[in-house]
Amino acid sequence: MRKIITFVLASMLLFLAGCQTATPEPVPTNTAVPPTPTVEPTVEVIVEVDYCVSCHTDKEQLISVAKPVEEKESESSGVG
Amino acid sequence: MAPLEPWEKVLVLQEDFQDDPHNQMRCDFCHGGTQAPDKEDAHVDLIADPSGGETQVCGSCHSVENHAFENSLHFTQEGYWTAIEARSAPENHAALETMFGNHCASCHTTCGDCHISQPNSVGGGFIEGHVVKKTPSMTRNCTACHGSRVGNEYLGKHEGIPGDVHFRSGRMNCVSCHTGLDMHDSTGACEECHADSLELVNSDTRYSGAQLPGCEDCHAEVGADGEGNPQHNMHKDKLSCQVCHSVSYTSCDGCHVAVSETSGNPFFETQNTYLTFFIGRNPDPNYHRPYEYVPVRHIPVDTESYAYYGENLLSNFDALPTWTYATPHNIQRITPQNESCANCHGNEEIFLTVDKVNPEEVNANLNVIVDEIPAPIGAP
Repeated sequence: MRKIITFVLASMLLFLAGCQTATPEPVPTNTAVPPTPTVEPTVEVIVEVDYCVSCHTDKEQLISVAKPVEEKESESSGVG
Repeated sequence: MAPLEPWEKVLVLQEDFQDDPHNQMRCDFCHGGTQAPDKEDAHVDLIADPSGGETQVCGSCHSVENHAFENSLHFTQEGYWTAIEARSAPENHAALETMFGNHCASCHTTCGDCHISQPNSVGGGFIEGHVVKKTPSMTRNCTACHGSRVGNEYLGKHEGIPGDVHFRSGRMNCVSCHTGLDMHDSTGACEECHADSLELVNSDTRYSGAQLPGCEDCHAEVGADGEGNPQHNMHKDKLSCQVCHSVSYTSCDGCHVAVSETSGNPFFETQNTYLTFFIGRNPDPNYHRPYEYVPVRHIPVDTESYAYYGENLLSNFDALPTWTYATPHNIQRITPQNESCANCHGNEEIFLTVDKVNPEEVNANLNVIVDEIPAPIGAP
């Protein structure tokens, strides 16, 4: 019985030893970063037009889009 | 006041408005609308007066003022309804509400009507290029609405009658007396914010609460002990200040309203306008107005004022006088009344006696008609 146990343990040790790598891979400590090509930044300026302000501060534009005044004769009489 | 051109009404003066704190917000924060170069597209969902209607955007920052103002007569127009309901019966209210919507509701006042634009009744338009004015303009805001009586009296536009001494000599404008607190229907009392219920001033009519303003607010010495004018001590609780210190003011008769068959627009006709000065009895002496005598002005209501909207709508016409408590805005230091005792005492001409009242209106005016004029001084 003792021989059998000894044999099994010896077989397991032999099996596990076969799985072991001989020398561990060195861990890289300082990875060299390949140089990236320099890209010129494209500056995109988004000019937000406030159409309310642009029209309502422009006298000529307001005149051009104003609706003609309908002359309405008041039908009221006397002091209100 | 000359009407503004259409473009002029909506021209924003950027140089002026850029320093206004309200310029920190985008236009559409208050006005809605759509960002588009075309006018029609840009005005989709536009809110022309954000301070009116349901949005009342001013209140989002000015909550204290907004809360009080919602109860003010300028906003609620309750003064109209107090009188209309008193003179009518509940079954007539539906027709009267239609009348009110056509002829009266446009006088409803928004924040913008006083602080940004002229009121709609004079065509609207910015006062100063959309700058939000803390103090309204006297002529372009206040008297734009209150012109035919108050404005004309105060500015002295009736021939032969000088303007109010506060204007002529003091160059005071409306807000010199009618402060922002008064206009926003606030007494300034702490309890207005820190209490469950508001104690409102002048919530039914402009004479229903405290005198805001009162002459004594500035003239505290009048009637005080040791004052040099004995007339003030003799008369101070019997007469309102205007009895001795105002002169002839406007009265009107017979205003009728209708909707034009040709244009579909509402219109009014006022039959007569004239100058009067009559002293009547105070119809409602109370803590704030204990006077026995006050000046009275004829207002233009008559039994048929709203006849276009139905028969006998003012079925309780006699409930209120047609000669009403008045506070004319043409105050003078020296007037015919205070030049001589005999100008009032024993002088029937100056009192509202029954012979001066339209016979059809006598019953309505029983509590203001003077039956017995004060006896001449020295008479037994």
